[in-house]
Amino acid sequence: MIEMILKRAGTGVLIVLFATTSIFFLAHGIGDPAVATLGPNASPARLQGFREQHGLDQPLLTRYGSYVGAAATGDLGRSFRDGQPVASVIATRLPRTLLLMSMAMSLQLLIGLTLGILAALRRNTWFDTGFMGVAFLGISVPTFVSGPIFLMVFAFLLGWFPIGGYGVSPLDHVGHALLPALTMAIVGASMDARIMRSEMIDTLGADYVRTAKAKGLSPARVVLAHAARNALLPIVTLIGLQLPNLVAGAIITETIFAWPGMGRLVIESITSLDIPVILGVVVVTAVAVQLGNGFADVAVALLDPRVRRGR
Amino acid sequence: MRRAGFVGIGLGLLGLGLPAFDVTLVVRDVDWLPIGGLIVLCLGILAYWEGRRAGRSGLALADPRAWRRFSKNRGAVAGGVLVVAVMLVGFVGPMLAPHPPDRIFDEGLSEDGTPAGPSAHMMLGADSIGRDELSRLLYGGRVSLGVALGAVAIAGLLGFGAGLVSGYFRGLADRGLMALVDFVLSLPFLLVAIALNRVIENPALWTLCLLLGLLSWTTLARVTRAKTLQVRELEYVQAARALGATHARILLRHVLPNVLGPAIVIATTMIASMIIVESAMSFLGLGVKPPTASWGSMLRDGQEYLQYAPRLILLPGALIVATVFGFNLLGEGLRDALDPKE
Repeated sequence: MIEMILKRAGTGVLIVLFATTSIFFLAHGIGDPAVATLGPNASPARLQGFREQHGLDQPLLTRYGSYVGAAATGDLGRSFRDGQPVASVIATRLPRTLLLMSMAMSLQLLIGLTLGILAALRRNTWFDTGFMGVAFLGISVPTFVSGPIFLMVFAFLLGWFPIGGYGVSPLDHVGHALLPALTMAIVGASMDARIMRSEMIDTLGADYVRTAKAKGLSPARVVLAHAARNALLPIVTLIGLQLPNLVAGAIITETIFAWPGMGRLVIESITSLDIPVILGVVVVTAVAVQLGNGFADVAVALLDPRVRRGR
Repeated sequence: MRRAGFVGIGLGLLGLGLPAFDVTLVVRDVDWLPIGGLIVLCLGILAYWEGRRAGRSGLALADPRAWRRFSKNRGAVAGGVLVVAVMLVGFVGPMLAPHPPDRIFDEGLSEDGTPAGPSAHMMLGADSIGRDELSRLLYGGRVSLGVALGAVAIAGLLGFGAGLVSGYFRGLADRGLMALVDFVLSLPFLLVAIALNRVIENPALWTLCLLLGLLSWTTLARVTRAKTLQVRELEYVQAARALGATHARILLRHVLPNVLGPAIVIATTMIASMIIVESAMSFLGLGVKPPTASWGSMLRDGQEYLQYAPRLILLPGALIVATVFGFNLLGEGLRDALDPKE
């Protein structure tokens, strides 16, 4: 078990390094950040000053070495645009996005798993075909289509939710996050519902479920403790794999709902070619995705004794 | 007649490729190219049909039972119809467009600056700066579809090739390629795509295709590899090897036709996801360059007038959903038809 975790962590570190390195060289190799930040009309002296200030006059490999060295200690450099330390900018933005993501993930699982289990229990009824049809359509509705429509219907027309922004108090933040989180949850919930349904149909037909029924356990206990628990395994893996989707969802949803988190930061920094911030966001996102995937792998191992004991 | 089947597939791909080529290589607005593409596509289907009728094309795709399963599946047929319709709109649409897509009309904006509603002159009204919405939708479809098809073509060649090599030769090539797949798969796709698209110096539609293709070949490589590993152990491949056939011959004649089925299923659903990615990038303003219309960039423009002109987000949104839904249905139907076990 510990060996597995260590191996997984090793791969994770390698992947984060790979992502950072490729983005570093691509970002620095193409275009001139000084011109991109100060504009094409800046005087040569100002451009030179900018390059010296940010160490852009050094050879690329030296810069890469010092970047990785500093990043390992938590120093991600300073923004080209406003000189703020990248690490502290991310420290303010990250919790907001994590709030959004955790709400989206909870909604997604709540909706997806409930519908999946109910559809499997009412297999081939109108409930099953109806909701699975809706779920299949749901996969095809991207966040940038559902987001503006939700905003129009639920915020502008009905006035049930705030029109966007972050709010002022913690409770207010949650209220502002509801509609964006729902937007982000739709695609994932549709996927989860479909997979949960087919997994449940498999486990409901398994021998151990028949045994559990024969023992006289209550139907709820058979369904939840025996069938659903085993059907959850692929879902846990899927959640790990869906993390990059959630990142993409956050980038789009935060733009639509003016939520000042990491997603907005991504767009702001990429639009203005603020390379230190772009790099910082990529590093933090890669680490987060690796952590999420790693946790999913470990969770599967904990839930499934066959995986835990090495097949 | 086996050859007719292959010729058919070749012509079909060429037919799909020509319109994509037209859009992405900035041979833009050469109207005969999409039409030529459609004609070649039809010829390809005919040739393929002929090969299939002879029943000896040796391709899993040509299995009459698979086609029977496909045509009995209502969802799959609906998906196919939807895809054909969208393709027609994308490839022939620009010819039907009443106005140039980038032209700004004075009467497009009403006195208070909001977009003008539908009229005889502009059937679906104007967009946020007074361009004809219908014309932009018709042109935008070609851009969205062209970029998606181009990206999938690149990803298809790379992923299918890598999967075949990886699964057939195994060993070092396999380990290297699969490590690369793991790395690329672990990148946050959209984040990397918009960052790279921003740093490309002279972005064009073909660089966008290349970028998306290079980031998305991995799933196809994995699936093709798994299937190749299975097929290479089958008796007829061993028989061919015993007869002294070269690797190239075994790969092309014996392995390739039998791993093509799953690859086509993946490629179909990939078109759907590439349409989503391109639209997402353009929606964020980091995809195709203005004033080029794509469904995603139109959605972005429409957001400003959410309250006054909801049609500006509903129309491109509905087209994106219909297209993605169509390709997803088609992919699902093909999966059921080609691989009834799963």
